[in-house]
Amino acid sequence: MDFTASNEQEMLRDSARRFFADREGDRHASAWGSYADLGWLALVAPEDAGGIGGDIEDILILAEEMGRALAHEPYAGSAIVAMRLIDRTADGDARRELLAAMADGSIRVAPALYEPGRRYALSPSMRATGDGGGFRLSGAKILVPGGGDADRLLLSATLDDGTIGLFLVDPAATGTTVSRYATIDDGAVADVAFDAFIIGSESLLGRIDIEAIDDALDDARLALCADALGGLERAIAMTSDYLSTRSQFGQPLASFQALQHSLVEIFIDTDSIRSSLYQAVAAVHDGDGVARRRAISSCWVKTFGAAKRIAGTAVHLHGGIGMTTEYQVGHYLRRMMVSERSFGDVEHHLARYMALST
Amino acid sequence: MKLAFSDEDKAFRQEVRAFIAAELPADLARREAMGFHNGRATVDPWQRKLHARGWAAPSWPREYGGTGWSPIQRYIFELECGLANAPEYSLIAMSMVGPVICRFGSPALQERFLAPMLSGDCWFCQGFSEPQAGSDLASLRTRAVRDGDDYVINGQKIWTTDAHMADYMICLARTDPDAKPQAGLSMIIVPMDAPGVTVRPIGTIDGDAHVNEVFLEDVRVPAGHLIGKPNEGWTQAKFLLGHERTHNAYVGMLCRYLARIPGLIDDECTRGLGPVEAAEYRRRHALLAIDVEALQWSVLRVLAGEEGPRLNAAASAIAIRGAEYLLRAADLETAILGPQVIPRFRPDDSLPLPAGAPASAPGRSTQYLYWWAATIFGGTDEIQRNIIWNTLFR
Ligand SMILES: Cc1cc2nc3c(=O)[nH]c(=O)nc-3n(C[C@H](O)[C@H](O)[C@H](O)COP(=O)(O)OP(=O)(O)OC[C@H]3O[C@@H](n4cnc5c(N)ncnc54)[C@H](O)[C@@H]3O)c2cc1C
Repeated sequence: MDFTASNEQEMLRDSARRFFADREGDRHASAWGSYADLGWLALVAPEDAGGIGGDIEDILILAEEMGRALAHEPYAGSAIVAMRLIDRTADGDARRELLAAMADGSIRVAPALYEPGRRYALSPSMRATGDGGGFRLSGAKILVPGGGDADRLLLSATLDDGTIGLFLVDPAATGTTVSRYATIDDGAVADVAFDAFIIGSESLLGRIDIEAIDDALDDARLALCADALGGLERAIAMTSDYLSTRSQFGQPLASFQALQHSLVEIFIDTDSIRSSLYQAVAAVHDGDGVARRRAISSCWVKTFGAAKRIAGTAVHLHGGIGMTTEYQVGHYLRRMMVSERSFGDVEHHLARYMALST
Repeated sequence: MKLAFSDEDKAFRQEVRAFIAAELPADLARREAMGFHNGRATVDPWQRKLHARGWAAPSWPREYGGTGWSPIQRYIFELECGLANAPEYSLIAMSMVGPVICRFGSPALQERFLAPMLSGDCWFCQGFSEPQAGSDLASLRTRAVRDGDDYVINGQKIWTTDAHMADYMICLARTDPDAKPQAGLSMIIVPMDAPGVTVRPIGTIDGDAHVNEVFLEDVRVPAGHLIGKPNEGWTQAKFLLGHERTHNAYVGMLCRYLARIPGLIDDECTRGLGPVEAAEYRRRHALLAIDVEALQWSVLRVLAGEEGPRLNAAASAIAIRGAEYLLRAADLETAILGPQVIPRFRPDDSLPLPAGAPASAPGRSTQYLYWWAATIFGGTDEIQRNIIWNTLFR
């Protein structure tokens, strides 16, 4: 066991921090090409398909920096979930070529798994009915991260024999309606609807079961926890700075013990999220499926059971300025609200944790 | 001691309920339930209906056009409005500025402002806070200097709710720079269209538009716009902020949340919410209801004057808990709705809803985010705790 970052990991963190600092005023322009150039997409792709096959620790170091910087690119969705799912389902040249193209940024794939009125259920009600040599797709997917900017959608649909197929489809094709919209944290997602949309048999990458989809999501869940951790640590640092510079009643806010203690409380909670993340990473290395899932749900509940309160307290400690969009601290609160219900929420993961603990 | 609502109170509740049911426009109630900040045009029809009924100003003395209601009746009215999704209209004019003008204003000011306030033709904003004077309000720097028949005002206000749609600002300004900080302040009515007044909107994280910066540059107002006598401003401000002491408990809003949450849970059970989660949300609802039931009686105790000298402490206590419970209620609603609250909804509901969003989703995230401001405005939680300490234990 080694708690210190390797030289390579330090370099990864530094380059990420520098990259986001350089494009500060420019957060809304797409950086997907830069992510590819920096090797951050290849980091997730397997070595036999043009990737680096990085350790989970490397990916989480990066995710932490993305959270700190409030980066909007759908890294958890289009890099982690999409690549993990394709790695598991596709075969041979198709698998290698697609993953290589995703790793070098030439094809961006958005995972479309969730459906209207079905919360976090992964069993698709979307049907792919056999039609001649191909399939006819009917149904809708919602909250597709980066779905409005993707070259391809990766979607789950139930086949005639009741198994689940993963399909790669072109969102620009006729028969597909893509409606993009903003999320409360300024991210971009899309709803996609298919009305008897006919696709060829080559669109079916392969079959997959729900448990395998859930496992592919698990790495992204850890990335969201690390993303939240980076954001919360930054919010606390900003709050500490602000309390030292702002005065009321002729003295720095930092001199009021009530405020010192509030800040310390959210520091303790945030620091224990880091510990929880580490226990989950250790379980990932152990390789036992049940222990891994349980540990990741543990980390999720620890993180998002506290994240909004931590970020909200940081806002509160700033007073009015914390509520403004011009100031950064409130954006962390908005991001926590979105992250905590992407890929499941606290109740969902608490239930999974309890089910796996018996 | 007899802790029961009287028959008159019960009859009054029915009267209020019947009036709201008959007069509140359904579309207005629907918008108010979403919880976005109301524009003036939205709430105007409601204020006119209340005015016609003589109920526009629950907290003004009767001789000035108020209702003359007992504190308990005012409480019942607020609760019923909250439950029925009736909006608060022109809150600053009706609950704060009006009572100050009734109490301290010259007959000329009363003549000029009270009637248009009642009819909804005159909206006010409250210009107290400044960039360097938030919790420490007495350190404010905006100056008002007497010049012949006028005052000339220079300075900057911030966080001014509704400045963009108000006709006037009640401005707390320094009229005697040599006196102690609290002693040299006055309240002056500033027309928002006076030359030298600039309003700049401030974006807030809830995604709605309600607060502003107000810049005052050589703004001239007639000396008669100063309320009462010069340098009485601190006393008046304390009267104003303390006037609706129980308002910050938000019992109307809390009861609205409590009333609709069970239905929200039932709806979501048809949209994939599982029985285990539903049971947990029902439990959280019950725990919140229990807290709010106690809060309501804390409010009634303050209203009945039972707290006596401890009134300030009691009012601060309910303000702290009120904000805390609002956050809990709004958090529970977003949890129940789950991923459906992720989209950024616009107050303008002409936009189509995303495929995954039921009609109950718009406004839920916005309100949760906004209620963090309730831990800040009207005196932050820490300032309220200081008040309790200083009143009871020092
Ligand atoms: C949405 C919104 C609407 C508002 N509307 C209006 C309006 O219409 N008109 C108006 O005049 N103002 C309005 N305000 C301003 C509000 O009253 C102030 O924000 C509030 O008084 C706090 O001041 P501040 O923002 O400068 O924070 P600060 O006073 O700088 O406080 C920052 C932090 O320090 C803490 N703190 C300060 N002093 C102490 C102390 N002595 N001991 C312990 N902790 C302390 C505070 O609790 C807070 O957590 C509004 C604010 C908001 C957010």
